[in-house]
This record gives sequence, C-alpha cells and structure tokens, in this order.
Amino acid sequence: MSARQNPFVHAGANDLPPDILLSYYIEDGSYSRFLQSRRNVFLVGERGCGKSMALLYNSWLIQSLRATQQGLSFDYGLVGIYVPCNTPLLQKVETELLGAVQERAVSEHFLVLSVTREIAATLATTPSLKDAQRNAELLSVMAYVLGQDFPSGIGFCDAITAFVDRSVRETQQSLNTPSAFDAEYRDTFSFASLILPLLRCVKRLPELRDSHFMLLIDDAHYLNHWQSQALNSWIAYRDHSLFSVKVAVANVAKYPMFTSSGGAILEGHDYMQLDMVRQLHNERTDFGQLAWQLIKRRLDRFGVAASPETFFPMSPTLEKDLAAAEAIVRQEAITKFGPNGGRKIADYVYKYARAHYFRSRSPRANRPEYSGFHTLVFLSTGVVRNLLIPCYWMYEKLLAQSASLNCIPPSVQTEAILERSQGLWDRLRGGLDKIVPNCSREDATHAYQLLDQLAVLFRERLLHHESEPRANSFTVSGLRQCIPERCAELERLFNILMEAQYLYVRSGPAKDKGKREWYYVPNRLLWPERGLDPHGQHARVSLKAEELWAAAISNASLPLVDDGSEQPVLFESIEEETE
Amino acid sequence: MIIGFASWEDRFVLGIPRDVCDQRGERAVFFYYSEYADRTLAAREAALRLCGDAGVLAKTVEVPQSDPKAAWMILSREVSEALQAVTSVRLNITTMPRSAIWSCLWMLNSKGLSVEYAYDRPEGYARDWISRDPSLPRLMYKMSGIAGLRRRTALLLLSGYDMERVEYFLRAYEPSVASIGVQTSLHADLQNDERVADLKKRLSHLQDVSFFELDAYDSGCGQSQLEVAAKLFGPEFNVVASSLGPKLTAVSLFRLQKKQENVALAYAYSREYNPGYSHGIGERLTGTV
Repeated sequence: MSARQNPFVHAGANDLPPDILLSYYIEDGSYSRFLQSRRNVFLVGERGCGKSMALLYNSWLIQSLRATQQGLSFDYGLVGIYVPCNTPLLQKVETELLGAVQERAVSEHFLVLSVTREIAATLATTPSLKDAQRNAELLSVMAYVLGQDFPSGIGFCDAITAFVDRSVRETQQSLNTPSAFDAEYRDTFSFASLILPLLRCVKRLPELRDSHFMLLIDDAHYLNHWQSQALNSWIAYRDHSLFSVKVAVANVAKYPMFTSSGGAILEGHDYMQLDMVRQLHNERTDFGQLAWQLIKRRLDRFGVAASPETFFPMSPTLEKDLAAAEAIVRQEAITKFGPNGGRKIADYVYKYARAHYFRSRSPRANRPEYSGFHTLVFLSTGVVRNLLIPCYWMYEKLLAQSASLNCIPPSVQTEAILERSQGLWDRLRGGLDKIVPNCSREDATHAYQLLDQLAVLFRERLLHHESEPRANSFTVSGLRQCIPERCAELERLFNILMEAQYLYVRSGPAKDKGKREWYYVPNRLLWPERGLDPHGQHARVSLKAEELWAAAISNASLPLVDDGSEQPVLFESIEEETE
Repeated sequence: MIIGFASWEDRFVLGIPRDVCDQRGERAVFFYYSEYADRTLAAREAALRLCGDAGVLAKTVEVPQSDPKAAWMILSREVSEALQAVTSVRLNITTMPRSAIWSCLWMLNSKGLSVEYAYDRPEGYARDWISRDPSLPRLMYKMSGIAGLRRRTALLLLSGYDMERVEYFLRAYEPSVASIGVQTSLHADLQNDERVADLKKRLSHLQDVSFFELDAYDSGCGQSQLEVAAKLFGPEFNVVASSLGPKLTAVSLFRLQKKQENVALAYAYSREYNPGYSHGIGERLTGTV
C-alpha cells in the first residue's frame, strides 16, 4: 500500500477512472435487476448514497470494461448512455430572457444535444462502425432526416459530435448577444426530431439491431422546469422497446412530475421508484453487508489482507466492558423470563446491554470510546459517503504519524470520530444559514435548538428510559392537532436539516400492520460528541409535532415519556427489513 | 454619468462628493434593492440632496434582488435610456452587488463604451459576520460563456471574509478541480491568514483543490495572478468563476470572462447583510474596463 495514498478517498463518481469505479462498485442484486431492464426508473437518494455510481456502473463504458476484464464479449442487449445534468450548459439561464415558446424550445434543445453527444461518444467504438460503407449509410440517413450536411471524410459518430458541438456553440453565441430576444431559434432540436431518429438509425448496425438504449440521467434536479417537463414526456412515451429512462434525483418530492403536454407521470404506471437509502438497524442488514464489502474491496485494492473488522478493531477495553454489561443484562433477563426465555431473553439483551454499559459509566469518566468497524457503519447512518469520510480522516492521521498502516488503532478511531462529531456541532452552532440555501439566521438557530434538544432527550432515554433506551430516531405524531403554520415551519426546518445532511428520512413499517410510515434519523455522527450510543436500536420515539416545534422555536425540552412507541420485537423487525 | 448602488454603508453617501465634484450638469442613477428599501431610504435621500447641490441630475431606481430577470430588465432599460444622452460613464462599484456590477459592465461594453469604475474602501469591516442566508448559486445572464459538452467542470473562486462561501460553491457545483484565490496578507486584516489556514485544512480531504494568492488592490485588480491561475483550465474545462472576496475582483473576473470564452460568471446573493457591514471611507481606487 502506498504510504502517500489513502484507500478511503471519497471522490465523486464522475471523477473516478473507469477501472477504479468498476473495482469499487458493489453490485446490489435488488437494484440491478431494475436498472438493467427496459423499465423507466427514478433512483432516489440523498447526496453521497451512490446514485451516480449506480448509473455509471450501468453505462456502456463500464459494462464493456467489465466484459473485457472478464474475458467476455460485450452484450449489446442493454446499452446504457450516461448523461450528467450538473453541467454549466444545462444551468444556463439566458433562456429566461426569451419569450416562453423560445425559452422552452432552447431549454429542451440543450438537454437533447447533451444526450445526443453522449450517444455519439458511447457508440463510437461499435465494431461495425469501422466499416466505411456503414458509416456512409448512417450519415446519409441522418443527413436526410435532419436536413443537414455533415462534414465529409470522418466517421459517423465524429460527424454527429461535430454537428452537436456546432449547434451548441451557435445557440450559445446567439443567446449571449444583446439581440438574443429577437432571434427565432428555428434550428432547435427536440427528442422527437433528433434523439429518436438517431437511435432508430444506429439500430441499422448489426450489433445494435436488438439493442435497448437506457438513458441514464444523473442529477435531474438541476434541470430547469422546461427541461424536466421534456424529460418527463420522454418517460411518458408509450413504446419502451427502443429506450427507457433511468433518472437520479436527490429528492423526488421536489422534482416536478409534469410533462410538456400538461399531464403528469405516475409511479407504477410510467416509472418505478428505487429508494437508494437503506435501512440500518444492525450489521446484518443490506447496508451493513454493503459497507463490509465496500471497505473490504478498498482494502484489497490497496493490498491489505485484513477484514474490515480487523482493520478497524474495537478497543479491547470497550469490548470487555460491553461483554461484561451483556453478561449482567443476560442474567437479569434469565431472572425475569426464566432460563428458557429464548427470544425474550435475546430481545432484552439487545435492548439493554449497550444501555447498561453507558449507564454504568462513572459520571466523571471521559467520553466513551468509539471504535470498531460496526460503529463506523452505524455512524454512517446508511450513507456510503458518510462511511468513507471518517475512514479517510483516520487514515490521514496514521499517515501524519508515519505509523504502521496495518490497522487503525482504536485510539486513533476514537480521536477522529470525536473530532468529526465536534466539527458537525460546530458547523451547526456556527449557523446553517451560511451553507444551506433559503436558510435564514433564525432558521439556523431553530435547527440547532431542535437537534440540541433531541440530543438531550436521547441522552435522557439512554440513561433512564425503561422501554427503548437506545432509540435515536423518531416519528412525528399529532399532526392534526398541530397548528398548520407550525407544521409548515417544522417541515421547513426538517428540509433545511436534510439539505445539510444532519437529518435523514426513512420509510419503515408502522405499528398498524401492513402500513409504512416516515421516520427521521439524525446523522449519527452527531452523537459521539454528546456521549451517546450511535448504534441505536430498531425503535423510534414518537414525538408530537407541537413539542418538536416548541423545541426548535423556544428551545423547550422534549418530554421523556413512554407514549407507547413500542416497536416490533427484534426478529420480526429483521424479517420485515428483508422484504 | 454616474451609476451607483445605494447602500446604508457610510461609504455610499461619503463617496458621493468624490463622484459629483466634477460632474456638474451630468446625470446620476442609483439603483437599490426593494428588499432593503427601508434600510437605504435615508442614504438615498442624502445622495439625491448631495447630487442636487452639485448640480447633478440624479434619480433612484428600485430593483428586486430576488427576481434576477426583472432586475436585468430594469438595469437594461435604465442604462439604454441614459446612454442616449451620455458618452462616458463612471460606475461606482463600492456598494454594488456583484451581479449588478457585471450586468452594468456588460450592458455598457455592449454599447461600445469604455467604463471608468471607482471603488471606495471602508475604514473597516464588521468583525463577526458580513452576510448570510445565501441564495442558490446562479450563472450570470450573457456572461455564462460558451460551455462545451463532455468537459470537466472547474471552479475558480476568489475568496473573501466568509470562507464558508467557498465550501458552499464547491458543494453546489461539485467540480472536478477547483482553484481558490486568496487575498494576499498585505492588504488583508489580521485574521485573514487564520481563516485561510482553516479553510485549507477543511478542504484538505478534497482532491484537486489548489490555492493561489492575488492582490485585488493592485492596479489590475489582481488580473495578472488571476489569468495565471485560469490558464490551468484549458479548453477541456468548463470554468465557473465567482468573486466572493474584495469587490474589485468582480472587475478582474469580468475581464477574464471576456478573454476566455469557457469561463462562466456565477453569483449567489445574500438575503441578509450585517447592518454594520462596514464603517467609514478610505482610499478610492479607480480603473477602466
């Protein structure tokens, strides 16, 4: 392993070289079968959860590299064309100065050209395009369809590329002039006038005769409303034989679902939704297993033979203390339920063993230790990037100390985790108004007070609660009784905290059988600074909307009551998680 | 004529005599944000009085901060009308928002005018905070350059007091590479070195982020250092650039954007400014675009 490199670098997926992306990506069977299909899909998840990685992995570039590495020939059945939307071209605003018709046309034009360019780049190495006659045939068809002259003497994909680059340039030059408003923009292209003819044209190539093209649209929340309407119209297209659209968005609730014709696309009918966020209640869940594979893959790539648990060992003292706490609690359970208590004993130990450790610590003791791979998994709150960042900083500490790189000592883990936790609180105290759009100073203060009071409540529960001491997520109840303005304000604060990634929203089974509910999980990296247990437990605290509002606005304490927030017992919960 | 932007800061009113002393018979227009109409009322009235005393025909024009399209249309209309009667313009950028500086420079240059700009430094700035509650970053109308497809995005930021703004832009644009200009210590306040060191530490986990120094207060507004930094981003990049520090860097970025077509100017306006943003008035710096 190079002493100058860090195996836990968390660069954006777009900046990873293809071979590294391929080596880092962990294929998830539950998503792959939907992404590698002819269905339209919305891929939803907050920043850092792996949306871009998932789309890029399914792009033609990565899949063909994968086939090459495995010594296979590439299967052209599904051809993924990756299209990023967080680009300066698609964020241009000059179209706002045009009339509505022109604005709509030019907005879609830029999106269509972006997609076309990616199609040309993707298909450039199709073997039969080495044949000059085939090139000429395709160019002839496209020239006729578009009424354009293409440059001669170059291949089909190069000609399409040159054509697109010229169109993009000319349109921007026109928009940048003082007389842009007067231009008619007759030469704009739409999905129907460029992309569909192009896809149909390339199916003349023998390899692509039976191909289905997947348009992998990343960060679609950056599109303007005309562009998102156009994209939605493509999704609403009835014939799925030629193409499908896979769209990655950070928050599907904020993404407009209207089409250009004024209709709307519907989940189930026009697309299916894949939620990238993963439940995390113990290390055996999907995310726990993903995290293990992810870290192992990175260690392997850097020549480290250790398992994640060995590379990030738990402190022996902590391990001993937790074992001792578990033994005491197990004895309590046996006394309570009898030696044949079975599941009841296991559930009791799960609920109270770690809590006993935290409760039995001397009030004058230093902060608890935070170490071990499974602690890192819980601290990530189920977000891949949140798993890598503390690992990165721990490794950097080792590099700075010129220490052995065979494992991260527990003391270094604890130090790095506490530093990162303190940094989160410092940033929150400093004010989210400096870093989150549409967040005033007052909002920032309220956001801090809300999380601060939640931390106080969770600590009280950890130390004193009878029923679910380690619960560190919550649901919101009493919405009907809450004044609407207060509910709206609470929702706005939640949105600010989610934007800043201090709060995550998850979907899980509700108390009423068969139903699901939204619940909120504060970023678990907040808890070490407050001496809390990031492991949490599979239980949610039910908090009234009015009480949460008061905590945020007035810094009021949240009540420590057991209001019936009982959750399914442990093993039932795991069965539900694997559905 | 004189174009300025009304503000509650001392240096707006204190700078008026510097502008009007040799402008008898000329015209002046002071734009102001609707959102700060109350806070700037006294200053606007004082400005009109001072102009009147100096024989300058002045008016104030309201502009909505939160509606970029309307703001652009109003500025465009006023500048076009004013240019029917004048051939030279002094643009006082002292208290002018970046977006207005760029808009006015573009509009005036597109009419073929050479613009004299003036900038009055304050005696000092607020210590605790300058501005907050930023809007989403946006590209500038007409100054978003020529973006190419399948290029990497580079971010070129000229940082200032609020180092968090740098992280804000990095988060918004997620560039492949970033180059951050910091004001040289020569003209910066004593805490600047600490803030810069802190920022470097916070960004040390990011790959491909580099720093360079520039002096916004030299005769070229740091132009030469900026162009050296920008040269790193050739035609394989789309460059998004923003001025987050000394206002004179808005001038140097405007010049850069005119020279390098792959550069797009971006801004994020603040919804809240410290009433004690600055105090007093210091030296005046001028130049031509």
